[in-house]
Amino acid sequence: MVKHMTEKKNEKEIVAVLAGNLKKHGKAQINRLGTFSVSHQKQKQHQEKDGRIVMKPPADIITFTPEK
Amino acid sequence: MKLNHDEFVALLAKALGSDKNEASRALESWVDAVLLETEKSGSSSVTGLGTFRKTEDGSMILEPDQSLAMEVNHKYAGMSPIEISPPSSVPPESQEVSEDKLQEAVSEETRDDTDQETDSETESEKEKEKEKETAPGFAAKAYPYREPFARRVYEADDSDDEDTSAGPFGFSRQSIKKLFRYDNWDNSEKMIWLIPIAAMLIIALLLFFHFDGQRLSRTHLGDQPVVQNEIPVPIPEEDEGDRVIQEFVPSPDPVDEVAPPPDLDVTPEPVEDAATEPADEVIRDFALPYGLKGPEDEVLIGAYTIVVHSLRNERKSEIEKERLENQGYKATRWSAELPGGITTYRVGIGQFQSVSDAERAVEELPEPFRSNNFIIRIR
Repeated sequence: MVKHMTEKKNEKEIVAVLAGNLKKHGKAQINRLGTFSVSHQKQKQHQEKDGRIVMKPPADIITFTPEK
Repeated sequence: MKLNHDEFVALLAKALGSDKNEASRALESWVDAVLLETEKSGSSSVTGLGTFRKTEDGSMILEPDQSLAMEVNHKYAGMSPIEISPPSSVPPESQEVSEDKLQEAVSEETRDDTDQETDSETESEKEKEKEKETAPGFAAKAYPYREPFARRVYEADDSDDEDTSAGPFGFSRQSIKKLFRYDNWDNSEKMIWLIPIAAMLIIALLLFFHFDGQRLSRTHLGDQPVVQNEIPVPIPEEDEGDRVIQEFVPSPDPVDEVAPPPDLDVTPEPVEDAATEPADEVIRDFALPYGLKGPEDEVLIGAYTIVVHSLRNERKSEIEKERLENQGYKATRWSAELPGGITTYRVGIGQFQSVSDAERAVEELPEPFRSNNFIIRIR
């Protein structure tokens, strides 16, 4: 039980550190798991199926590259 | 901030309040747990981070937690695509089925019920047409397109409709009705009528833009006081080779009083008289305040702007707006409510009539605005 609680606390802290870094648009590498980063998608024009041309807004998205 | 594994462990140790070895062990056990669960059940959910999933090719992906994804994307959160051009409408001519296409359509096996009904109706119409064409006395048989009226008369006479009473010039009412029915015309007849109509429309549009352009060009001469078009310009008279300028007599019109005619021998100086201001205001009313630089007189709803700042701090956004205004930009600041009750303050520069205008203006911007911006519509 105590071990489980400790693991939960550790996970919470790991996620907090990781998320805090991602919010600053940082990059974090964790051995055996992969790399977490934020990539920026530029706004771009896109033609819908009905012929409409729309400008898609830009976005900052979280990307994860697993370690091989 | 780019963190490698050791730097991440050091940061984690600080957060846990322990040494690096302990933090490293905690991280290792967490990674083991995630990998094991993903391998075992195909996915592993981590609260606050997202869900790791195993793909078919054996690699692992992360579906980020929505709240984290929104926080990371706070700058652009709540934005929706801007429609640049409307959906392409199908012209009525293209909806009509030509005979060749009809044959193809009939031969198609995969058709829905609606199509089948339409095809059968069209086929029956075709059969009726054929019967009429093969009937004796069909005037337009030899010249189906050059004598369309003869064909219509024949059709009217041959019709089984009840209302066959004679109208003017011996035509039945039904035949006159048929004559003015658009559906009854074949393609060549439609073209005969459509071409002049289209030509008239084009001419009307050209005339409209021509005169509108003249009006606009007049309104854009705001910095030249000669623009006041109500002023009667004195006509110089030619007398024995010497040019004589008529003396200007001010008219009772108030506009004429404020702006004397320009002396042709002297370069006109900018009129500083306060009475000229009303005339300038009239000019400005016509010229919409589009552009990247200049005072932000009016926020044009529906215009496009280039967003260069998206900040959570209201005071900071005000400072940034003032800074941009001091640099001569048309700066606008507004707040956007994001999901979760977060407010972000966006600062945009310029007002543009179209996205392409805004994109051209982006090229003129200095860094970092040139590479870090987005265009949105002012609503």
